[in-house]
Amino acid sequence: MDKGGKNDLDHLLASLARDERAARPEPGAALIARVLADAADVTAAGDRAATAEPMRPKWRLSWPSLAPLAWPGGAVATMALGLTLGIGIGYGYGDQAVAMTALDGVIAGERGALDDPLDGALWAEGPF
Amino acid sequence: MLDQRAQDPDAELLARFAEGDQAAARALTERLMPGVVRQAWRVLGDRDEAEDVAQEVMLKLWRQAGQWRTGEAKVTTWLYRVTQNLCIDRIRRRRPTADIDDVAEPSDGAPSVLERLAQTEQNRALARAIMALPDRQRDAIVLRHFEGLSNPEIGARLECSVEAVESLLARARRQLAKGLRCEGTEIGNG
Repeated sequence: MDKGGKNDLDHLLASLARDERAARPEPGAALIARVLADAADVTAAGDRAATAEPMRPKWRLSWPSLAPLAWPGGAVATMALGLTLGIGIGYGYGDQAVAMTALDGVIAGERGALDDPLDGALWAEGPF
Repeated sequence: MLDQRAQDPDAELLARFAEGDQAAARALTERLMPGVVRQAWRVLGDRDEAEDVAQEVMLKLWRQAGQWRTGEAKVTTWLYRVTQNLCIDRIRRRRPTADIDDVAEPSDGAPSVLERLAQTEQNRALARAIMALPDRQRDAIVLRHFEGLSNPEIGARLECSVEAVESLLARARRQLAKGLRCEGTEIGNG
């Protein structure tokens, strides 16, 4: 197609585009309002989902993943915990709570009346 | 990430919406809705249906906002694809046995939107020639001459290179000139 033909075609296309622009629909206020209402609903649903997540009770004994136990220190800590727990029960440490959080493996809490031979960080909060 | 959002301001607005900013939703709606409605109208030929599709498209966008991966595609590219797919679904529901290739050219011979709104016989002939183009060539012509997009913008929308867009436009023009000659409308040699 020569340059003149190209220009004529562009002319025709521009003319048809003008016809189209004159007839094309634009989104009305009602449609925009519906779309924005949908956006607000999606945001609200997301907020509800985020706040509805249940809190894990502190006192619940949750089974840890095995990953910390694969860690040698974790294995040692677990054995020490068992030993201390046995000693604690024997000496009436009834008020002490024991819990082990699953993922972080950190156990903390109140000490008993007697100094315990092991690191008191093995004790944790919560009902026993 | 900040540079990518700067290259796609719609992605920046979408990220803000995902964080709960309703003003960003309004800005996005004002920026994107007109193009979505126009695209759906050109395919479906009906304003009410076009608006239904547009609302559906925007709802999908709101739901996707939290998972949007900036930099992978432009928001407008995604919108274009989704709008096209929803329009095709609607047409299939109208005529369940229709072949998908008939989307652009109704098998019952009804005039297209472009042909119906053309004001002159010459424009109607051009509209018929545009609708007879292969899909990608027609998309390129419409995006160039009816939406006023640049070749890089067309490439982003159609997910192809600028060279591919230039090739599509060149082939489309040749087809249009040929189609118009068949309709008895000569392109002058001026």
